[in-house]
Amino acid sequence: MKIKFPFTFNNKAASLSSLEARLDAALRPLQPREEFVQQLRNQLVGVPDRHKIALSPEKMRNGLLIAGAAVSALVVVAAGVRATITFLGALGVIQQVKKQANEASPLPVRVR
Amino acid sequence: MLLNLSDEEALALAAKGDANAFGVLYDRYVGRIYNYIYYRTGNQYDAEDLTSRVFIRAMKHIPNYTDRGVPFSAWLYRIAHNLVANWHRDNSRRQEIGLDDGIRVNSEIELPESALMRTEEETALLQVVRKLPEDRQELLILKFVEHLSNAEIGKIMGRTEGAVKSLYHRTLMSLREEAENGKNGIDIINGRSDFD
Repeated sequence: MKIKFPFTFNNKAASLSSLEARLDAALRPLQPREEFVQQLRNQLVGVPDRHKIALSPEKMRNGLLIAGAAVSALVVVAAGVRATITFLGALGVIQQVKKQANEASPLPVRVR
Repeated sequence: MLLNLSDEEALALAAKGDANAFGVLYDRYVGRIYNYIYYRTGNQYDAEDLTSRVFIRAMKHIPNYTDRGVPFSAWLYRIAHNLVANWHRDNSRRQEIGLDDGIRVNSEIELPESALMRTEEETALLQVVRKLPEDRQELLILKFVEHLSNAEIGKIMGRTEGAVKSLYHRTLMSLREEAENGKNGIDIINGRSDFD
């Protein structure tokens, strides 16, 4: 049984690069079956201990630091917003009291 | 973190019996070794079987691994190369027995599901490549499937970068000659090609 070469070249100069392109297309990387890869991994290494990875001291420390930083940032922002509102509120109340006081009892004019 | 370890660091840990470090190396190379074996054997089932044997053998011998200046990947490819060579030898014996018994051996390349969409031309070209001498097949696979540089291929094949370049050029020239002749074919039954 004979197999003919699958193509011929008309242009000698371009033939090598064309051949490389055809090889590149034919010899493309394949993905092995995921099931096979996982089974062999389990056979060699054992089932990955996800809890162990999640609770590794380094990960835990980093997680706590990030969580602490996020909570602190939230507290600072909330305190800032609260202070601003309080300040503006107090300013408004003072101005309103002054206005009411002016309207109710204008300063007496001294007449000699 | 184990994932950030270099091959050498993971190798050192794996040699001391750290299974997770070996797992890191496995994750890095299983695809590459599978591809190498797949294109050398031409079928998914043998590729999976031989890939398993490569990693089982690597794990068994990793405590005895000695750094001779070649990367870990080269060591794995060397194991794969030896297993594929044994596989071809055993296969050719089986083929001889089979032919004596009047059983035809299927020479078609069995493709995994992910490769079903190949053109006829690609399939034929793969058959031509699989009839090349072993070192040329290995070179083409490492270059086109694994996308390795000539220097990296040299380390795996135990040749200088210049020798790899030269072998690559000779391989392309012989393939081009084959294509230009057009009439020539490859004797699949006898396993001989016109450019062997």
